[in-house]
Amino acid sequence: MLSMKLFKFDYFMKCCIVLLLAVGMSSFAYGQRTVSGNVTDGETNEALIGANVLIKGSSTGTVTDIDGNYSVDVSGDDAVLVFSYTGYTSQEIVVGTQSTINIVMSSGELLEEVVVIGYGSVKKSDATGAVEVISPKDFNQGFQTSPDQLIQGRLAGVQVTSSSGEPGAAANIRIRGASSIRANNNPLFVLDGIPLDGRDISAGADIGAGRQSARNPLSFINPNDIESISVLKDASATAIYGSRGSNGVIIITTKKGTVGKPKVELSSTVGFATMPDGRKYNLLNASQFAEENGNPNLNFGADVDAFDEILRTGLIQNHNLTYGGSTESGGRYRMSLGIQDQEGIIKDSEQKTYNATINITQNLFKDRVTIGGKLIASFVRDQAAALSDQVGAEGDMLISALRWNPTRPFMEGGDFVQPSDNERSPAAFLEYYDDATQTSRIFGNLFADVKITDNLKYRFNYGIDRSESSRRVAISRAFRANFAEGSGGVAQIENIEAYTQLFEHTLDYNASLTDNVGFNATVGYSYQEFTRQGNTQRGNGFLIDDQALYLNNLNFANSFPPNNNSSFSDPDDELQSFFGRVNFDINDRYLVTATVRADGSSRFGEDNRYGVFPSAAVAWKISNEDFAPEVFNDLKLRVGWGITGNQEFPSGSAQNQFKPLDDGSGIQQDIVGNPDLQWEETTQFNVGIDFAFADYKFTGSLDYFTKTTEDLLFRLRAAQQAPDVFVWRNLDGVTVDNSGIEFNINTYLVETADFNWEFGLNASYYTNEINNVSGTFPAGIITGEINGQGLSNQRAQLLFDGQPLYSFYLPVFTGFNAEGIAQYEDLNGDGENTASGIVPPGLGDRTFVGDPNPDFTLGIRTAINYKNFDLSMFFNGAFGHQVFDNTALALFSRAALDGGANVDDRVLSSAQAAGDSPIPSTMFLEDADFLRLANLTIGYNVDLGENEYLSSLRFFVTGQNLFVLTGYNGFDPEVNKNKNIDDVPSFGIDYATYPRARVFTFGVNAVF
Amino acid sequence: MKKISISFILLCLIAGFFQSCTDLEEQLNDGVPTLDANADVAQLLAGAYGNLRDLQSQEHIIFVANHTTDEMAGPTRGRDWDDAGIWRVLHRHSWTPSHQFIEEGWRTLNRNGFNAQQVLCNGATGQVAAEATFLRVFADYMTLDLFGKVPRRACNENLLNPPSQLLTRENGVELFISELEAVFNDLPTSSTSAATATQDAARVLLAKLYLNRAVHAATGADGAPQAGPYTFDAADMNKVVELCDEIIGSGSYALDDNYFDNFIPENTSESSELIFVSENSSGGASGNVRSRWFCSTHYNQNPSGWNGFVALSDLYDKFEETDVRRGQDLDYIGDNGSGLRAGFLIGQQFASDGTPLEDRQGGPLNFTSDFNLFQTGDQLEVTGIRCVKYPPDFTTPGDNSDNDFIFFRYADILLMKAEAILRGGSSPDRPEDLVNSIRTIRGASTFGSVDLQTVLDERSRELYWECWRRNDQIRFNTYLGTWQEKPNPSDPSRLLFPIPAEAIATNPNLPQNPGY
Repeated sequence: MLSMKLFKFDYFMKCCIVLLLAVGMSSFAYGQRTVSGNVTDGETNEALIGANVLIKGSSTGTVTDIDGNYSVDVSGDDAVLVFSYTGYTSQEIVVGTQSTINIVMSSGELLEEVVVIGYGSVKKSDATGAVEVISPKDFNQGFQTSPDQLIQGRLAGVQVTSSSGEPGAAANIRIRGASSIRANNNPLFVLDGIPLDGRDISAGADIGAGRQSARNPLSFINPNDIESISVLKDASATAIYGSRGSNGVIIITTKKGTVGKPKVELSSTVGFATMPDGRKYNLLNASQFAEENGNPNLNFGADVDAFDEILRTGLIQNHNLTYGGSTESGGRYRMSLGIQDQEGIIKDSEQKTYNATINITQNLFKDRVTIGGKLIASFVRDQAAALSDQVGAEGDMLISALRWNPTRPFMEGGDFVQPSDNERSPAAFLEYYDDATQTSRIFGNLFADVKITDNLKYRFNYGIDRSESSRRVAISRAFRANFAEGSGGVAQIENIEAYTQLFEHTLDYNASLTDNVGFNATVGYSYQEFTRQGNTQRGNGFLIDDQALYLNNLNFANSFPPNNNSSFSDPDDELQSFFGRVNFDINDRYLVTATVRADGSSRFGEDNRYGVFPSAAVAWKISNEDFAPEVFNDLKLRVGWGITGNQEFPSGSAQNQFKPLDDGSGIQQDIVGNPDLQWEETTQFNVGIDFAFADYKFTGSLDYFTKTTEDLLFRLRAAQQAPDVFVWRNLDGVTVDNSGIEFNINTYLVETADFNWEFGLNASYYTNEINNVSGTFPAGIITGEINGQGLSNQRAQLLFDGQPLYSFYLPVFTGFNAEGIAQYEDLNGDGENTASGIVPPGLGDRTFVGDPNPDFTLGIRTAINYKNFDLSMFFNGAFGHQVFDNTALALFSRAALDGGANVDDRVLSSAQAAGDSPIPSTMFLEDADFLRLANLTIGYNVDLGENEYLSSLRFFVTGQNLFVLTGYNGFDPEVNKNKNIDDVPSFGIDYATYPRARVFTFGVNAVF
Repeated sequence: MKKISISFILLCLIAGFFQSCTDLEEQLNDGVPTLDANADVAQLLAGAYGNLRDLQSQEHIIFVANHTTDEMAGPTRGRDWDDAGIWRVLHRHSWTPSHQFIEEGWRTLNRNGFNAQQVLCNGATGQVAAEATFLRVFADYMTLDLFGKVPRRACNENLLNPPSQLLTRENGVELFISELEAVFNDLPTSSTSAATATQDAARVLLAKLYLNRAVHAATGADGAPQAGPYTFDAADMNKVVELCDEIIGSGSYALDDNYFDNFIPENTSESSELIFVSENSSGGASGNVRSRWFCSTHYNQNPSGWNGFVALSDLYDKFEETDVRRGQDLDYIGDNGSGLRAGFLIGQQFASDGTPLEDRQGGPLNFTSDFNLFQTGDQLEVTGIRCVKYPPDFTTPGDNSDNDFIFFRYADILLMKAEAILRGGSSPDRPEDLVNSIRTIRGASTFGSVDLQTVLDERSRELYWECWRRNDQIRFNTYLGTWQEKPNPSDPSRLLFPIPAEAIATNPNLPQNPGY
């Protein structure tokens, strides 16, 4: 114990030294005096309460009180005060010798956007990296359940693809493409300064109907509480997050109490979701089926539509109540309560979320100290239908419904018709399957800002994030499937609990080095730990049919299979980091930023405990040069470079580990540790232009980037003889190369008193390539699992030299021969059909035929205000990519129809014979270009006049996913099913995907 | 109020510093980085036994190898069981080094060998070490038999590097024999359960090694396996006879009056023939023995199967009508509401109440002896004879069936002895008596005399679908021939499976078998 304490003390000392060094920088101090005055509205002459008064080049400042008065300490005559207020044009005043400065502010012009960057914030016009910020007015409108949905399609370079249309489905988020082949490709999420754990926090194990897709871990954040979302795209911006910065960083800032009188805001939305008719497969109806199938034994005389049987109109509602304001003593508070209920368009699927948040800040000691904290308590109830990511031949509920013989009744004599394990009844699935997950999450943080001198500020930030999730899933023994009936019913309870704790110290120093050189430095220390544990209980063999009773009486089971009754606890995961950033602002023309972060992680092998991630960026504000044309309000050239990392491999991979066998009989070596294991490393270069011209009528930016990822994290098999496990390694020589161009522009086409028209567009063009794979994997890396009857062990994708990630590697279908048998191109010229199974490129009849990564993505938004009416529309689209329709491959063939399964009517017009047994080929690979009207909102703001109670009242109606223009035949061209092989990610394979709903909502928003 | 705030802030700061400084040593929670040799070596041994359960799956190489013989095939039915030909290539001997089951089989068997050695490397002595040695040789011998090479490691090798040793067909059998003999006396003479490696289990393994020694010896300079006929050394055959006699003479085993008692869920207690098994416990630790019935029965049978593998008519036609091994009604199956029979299923199938069953198209569920490896047309679901070697466990819910999975049993010993005598081993016993002792109890007629072909056929009749057929056909030099739905003879390179592509990628010192 003693040695342990000494050890800790040693580290304590080191930490203190870092702090002291930083404090040392505070020696530049100036004489101080006080400036005061008041701020009024130029039109009404009324006092402006809560206007911001900031000393330029610092984060020091104050706000005006209830009479519009302020008082602020300035360092000297050079000080510049910046007065700003929401909706008004900011003003900068040089203090000079004045001691009283009264300001009259006028409204109507654009506010300068502020981008939250890691450990600080910066005006958009001063940003040196590729960063974007989006605020609520530009969020996707309508019914949105998580932060990622708010920005879907809105930002160039940010691709958000939800894994399905299921309520609460997790999304796949790619910033500037995928750069990893094994490690997680999702960006780092930072909520109010606390980086979130990217691991799944809810369970989804397979009890026989297939593995459930993961729940969205971000559901705990109420979209209504979000003030802004900043996206850091290039390495010069993300390097401050070091070993977690490779995939970009999304910083979510929540709302704080508004300055001024207390406000109560109530918003309510109700609506409904439906399956868009045009997106259904054209399944045969009963009479078509009877005629085309022709087998009287298979005509059972009924007329049912099994797919409609599992669908419904989902009711959705969302209610938010917030209360917030500020106190005279400099405190701000905000409380909110949100309730959301989303019924899915497939029966039995639903997500209810309950969020409560409290956010308080308080200034103390004449504003020298600010303390604040926030608390989010959320509770999410997910109810799921029997749907799965990778169900095989037998089928989940969706597959069962699609292929259900439409002449076969669901019920006969009061019982479900359940033909066999292979023809499962969708109606019985609805009755006999229960799957509910309850997730509670508490997220809290507490910070203290201390103004040590006017130039030096210290911040302590503490955060804790705790979640508990319990999934209860059961299937009745009355369900005809081997896994259910044959097991006497199954009940399973899975629990996962996780927590993250963060301690962070930062020092921020601001000064003018000379008249023309501004300087800002930030240094910090951060420690974050993550733990995660869980357990599973399963019982089989019940004597009754009611599966709900199984779950509530697990002891009633007659057997508890040992491999399904288990617990785990991940190794404690610690991340200790030292970071710093310096900014120089020279002549208000040249901006220079440099950052560095040293990340030490307990995950890394002992030989590579710390990784160092530097970055640098320069920007040239051309518009401030004398030669710059007047028309430019802003013109800035940015160049940035940086190295970032990705450490998303499981903790515990660097050490040998012995564990029990799954069934508990004895122990064996379970992990072959790799002490050299480290982060993967991405080097990114970015050049960009930010512009604003014609009185800010046009604003936008253009960026070009390249990024190369090396030391890719990958699981390789251990060379036998060895435990039959994967070993995590950093691949030598293999690289993933991304490059792209991003463009966005926003224009105010018409600006009049009664009529405003705003138009915005974002577009991205990408290339993506993996290189030198064959040096390590001569035959490439296989992924893209294909499922279905007769399709076991089929794969569709290959990662190979010079190809985009997840490239489809398939036989080329050339048509059916006279006998109706599928023919494939003889690519290797051997005269034989060697299309089966993936062999190395060049050896068999397979080739690279496309990839699921869009070349080009587009977002178009337009907003019109006419008097009290407003209308906004948002389109998004993606082009130049392919999707593989595994659903059609698995279900729609002549053989399936003859065998008694329903099919899409494409089968009727096909020359395919019953004897043809389709393999994955280009037959089912489709272009997935699409343009979607994602969002249309019409709103009306009620004229309240001099209303005693209400300050604003707005009614609105929103339609989401109103139409999608695409040639793709599946439910929806935006597809992201988890079809990985050995955890090598896959993308662009559509199999039994939960369809995307069309949603209409009606809402009211009232501020009191 | 302010005082509280100050102390609060100070507290935060101090707590922050003390909490936050770490040396980043990773704390494991559900695993341990090293073992306590004295405490854990028995658990490691239990783990090595547990690994045997992974050999029970229908996708494991020892069962997959049945598809390559004249006993079994996995036909494609329309699109069902197409799987891009993964089963068909087995029957036609056209597999490649990237065949998934071949890759998985290589890994599982080598993992088993490694895990057994882990027991030895962690300080095991005496009986524990002896049992671990048996398990190691058992796994490594299967690897050698199937792949012709075994990449072994010394204790405490860095597992990130390729292994330092390579056993081949030239030196493997010698080494295995010496390793087994060295620990023989430390093995238990008897055990309450056939799941423990006893001296008798070691005798069977030794007998298999001696019996097949000539096959492994027939290896070209490039490591290529050579086709038979093989030249068997009389001394080896004498060893086989001697080992078999020790087992027979022990009186511990006898042929069971009820053939299917060897395979029913209660075979642990009911069978008198079990010598070495992988133990399955009802509802508990259990392998995938359930695949033995699911893999063959039709969807509309009880239990609802996968309508997969068929028994070749070459096999079915070897039986006399009275032979109980060909098929039998078992009372307990009917008691569980199933009309299933044990053994082969041919012709119309019935429910337990005598109702004729239908296939999914509504036609009669009438299994035919003819089938096409690529089945189409009206008979899609019903072609091919089905086989239920292990009768289903109806009482155990879930996948955890009770039937112990057999590696060695007594009837095999009698047949090995008969074969060894015919191959030149000396014994006062007549091989026909050994064969007839089995045939009599199985309800078949007796033979006046037997030759090697008779013994091979009897091995098939007795041990069909028990994963010995490939080994037998190779030794009797019929493996490269033709049979139902295998029209062409195959190249001698097919006597070994290829070293999987993945294994060669991770171990550059591992040469591919010639011909792949």
